[in-house]
Amino acid sequence: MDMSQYLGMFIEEARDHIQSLNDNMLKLEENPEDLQLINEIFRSAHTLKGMAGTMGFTNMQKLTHAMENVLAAARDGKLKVNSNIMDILFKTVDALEAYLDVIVATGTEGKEANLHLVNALNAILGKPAESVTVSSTSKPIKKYEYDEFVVRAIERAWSQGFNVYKFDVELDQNCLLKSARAYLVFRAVEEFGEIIHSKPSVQDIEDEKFDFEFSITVISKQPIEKIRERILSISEIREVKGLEIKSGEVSSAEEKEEIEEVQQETPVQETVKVVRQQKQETVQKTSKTVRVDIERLDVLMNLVSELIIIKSRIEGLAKKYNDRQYEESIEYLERITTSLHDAVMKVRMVPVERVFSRFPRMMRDLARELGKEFELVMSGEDTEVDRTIVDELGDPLIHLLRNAADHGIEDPDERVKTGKSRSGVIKLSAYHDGNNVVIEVEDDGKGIDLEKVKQKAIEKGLLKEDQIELSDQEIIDFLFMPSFSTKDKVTNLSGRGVGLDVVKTKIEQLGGMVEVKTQKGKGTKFIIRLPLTLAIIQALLVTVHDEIYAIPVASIREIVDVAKEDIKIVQKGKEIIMLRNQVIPIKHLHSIVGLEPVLDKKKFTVVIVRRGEKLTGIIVDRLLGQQDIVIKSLGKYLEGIRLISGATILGDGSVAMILDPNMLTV
Amino acid sequence: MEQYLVFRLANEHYGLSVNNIENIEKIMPITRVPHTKEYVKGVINLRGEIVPVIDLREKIDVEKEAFSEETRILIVNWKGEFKVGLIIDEVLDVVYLTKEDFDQATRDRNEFKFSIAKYNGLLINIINLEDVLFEKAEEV
Repeated sequence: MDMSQYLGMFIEEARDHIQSLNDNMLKLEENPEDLQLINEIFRSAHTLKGMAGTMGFTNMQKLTHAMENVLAAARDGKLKVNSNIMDILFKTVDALEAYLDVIVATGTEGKEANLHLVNALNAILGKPAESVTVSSTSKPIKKYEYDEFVVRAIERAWSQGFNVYKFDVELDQNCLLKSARAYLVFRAVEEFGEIIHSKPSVQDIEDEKFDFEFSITVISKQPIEKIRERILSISEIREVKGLEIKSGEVSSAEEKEEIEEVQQETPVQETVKVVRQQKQETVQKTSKTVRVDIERLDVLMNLVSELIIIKSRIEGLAKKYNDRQYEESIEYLERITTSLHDAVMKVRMVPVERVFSRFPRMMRDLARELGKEFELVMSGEDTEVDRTIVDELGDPLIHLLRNAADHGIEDPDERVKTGKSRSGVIKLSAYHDGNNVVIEVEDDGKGIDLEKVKQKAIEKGLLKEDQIELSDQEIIDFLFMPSFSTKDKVTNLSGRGVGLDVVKTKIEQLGGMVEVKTQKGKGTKFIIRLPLTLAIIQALLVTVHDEIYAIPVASIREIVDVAKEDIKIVQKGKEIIMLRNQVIPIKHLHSIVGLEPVLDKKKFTVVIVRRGEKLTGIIVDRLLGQQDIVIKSLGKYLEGIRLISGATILGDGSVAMILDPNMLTV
Repeated sequence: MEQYLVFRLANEHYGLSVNNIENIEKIMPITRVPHTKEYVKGVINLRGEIVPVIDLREKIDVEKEAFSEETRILIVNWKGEFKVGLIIDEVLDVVYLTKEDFDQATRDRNEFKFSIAKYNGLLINIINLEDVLFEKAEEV
């Protein structure tokens, strides 16, 4: 059977399970006694194992199986969870995630068997406890064949948290009324769960058309031993063999007769009812949300953009006609397109929780690694941002959080000495602020040592010793220079060649900015400000000669008219203007885009763009005005043009280039 | 046997496998993109999609003609990764060419930039899209 069509679904679901494993294990670490958590973790591991098995990822399946055994022992109270066990479990989850990454990249699970982890997990149990490993790890997985109807019932049972057992019952050779004996067994088992299949069929058993053996398949929440003992308690039963059927171990046989025989029987019919009810419940639950391929959303977004473009075109035409009814219709069209646009944007919005959720786990490991004590406090996880942005947020945030833990938070003893609590606090919060989303990473650590930063800058030759008059902000800016680190020793965390400059570049690529506030001895706060979406922005349209360019409004500080004589020349032909006593370098957009500048004008229109704190004046011919533009990529063939961040289609159908403000100020 | 679109550049015949071609468009406004290669004429708005346009005549060094009523942009699709428009002088025909139609001597293209196919007494330069779109297999 070709499983590749299910790969996407497998990946998505496996990710969810791994995430919930991580989340719940973190909670468990705080409340090791919480049986419900252990149950939940067990279920995730169990489902994951079954899924991996179904997909034929045997290494992954073996690892989850070993994990499941440990969890089962914990669930049954045979094992107490301690931090050592938690560490191994966390490592196992990491390994599972690694499998998943390989699967995403290659479609196969790779060759890594993670034997050390399997061994470590088995070692926790001493030897594989028999009651736990009903179907032993070393044996190849048995396939149980049922007809499709039963298979579906079994799968449903698993998803509802039931266990599925198969009992082989052997009657005493001296047993006289075999069918009556079997009937007692059925009755006994039904105290604990539902019999969904029997072999031979119930009809045949009633007619005594069997020897001394029959087998039944049961779904139940009770432990297997309990049911087995109950069966054994019936007289004239010689032996009962119980096996737990795990997911991935059943397959459907296509024997029509079995379906017939199954459908005749009353116990089975009852199951049908139960299953149907359960099915309806799950349908109701799932229909509230739908997973949509992001590409389909992009198509939808594109169509809406088209609509917006054609709308502005019709608006332009409408001016010619000056007809009242016509105008009203267009206003109506305008309202609809705006609402439609909003609605589509909302569909693309996802909570930042998607990124945040992996941090608690990361920070836990970090605290152990660094030997520090701190708590991660998150807020505003439900703040929504366009998913194109959310997807890019992970790396910068990881870096800032590591930074806070490594550079910010002091060692526990040091904290106590300075009168702080032993354990530090790192806050990660998100909130909306107008058309922006703000994400803050704040620690109550020692703050940035500005003096040290300054010394480092002098060492690196970025600053001359006599340049002492620097504002705090200017000193902080050094931190964002490539390969600038104040940490003296290279640890596992810092010294990877990734610095704050990478964070800054990434955020700026997303059209956002980073700000730092720090207070010595009190802590540091990084503030990231991002636009809600990347797809549609406000832009200023300008012309040079007969070409139209769009400049994102977010990066424009102001627009000024400058007389020719106010443009001064310094340092070998560099043009500058003075604006409120600030020196601002000037560039001609003509030259930037490779056209001849118009020099014999008396007055120039200068658009002042900013990049962080840096300002640059851009001379343009004419301003056309401000409007919402839809950003379109130039495509793969033209990628890598540094000056242009994309293109947009104007109301008349023509194309205009969008200038990358970050490149204008370089 | 494969189908080829035969078109004219200056006074020579060229052919491109129809498998590569998505559309044939009339000439339309092209917006220049700064800092690109000379032969990249810019981008067009192809029903809402931004598509780069290459002047094929400049790219393969054929004498340029002014745009006319017959000038067309062939929209080609490179392995589903991107689309590019190629400006050509005139679309002539669509023909079936077999292996035998190709001139053996030009197949490995040591001295020729294009393979040459013979069809009804015509000589057709067969364009290899990869050579046109990427820099690597440029001049010998």
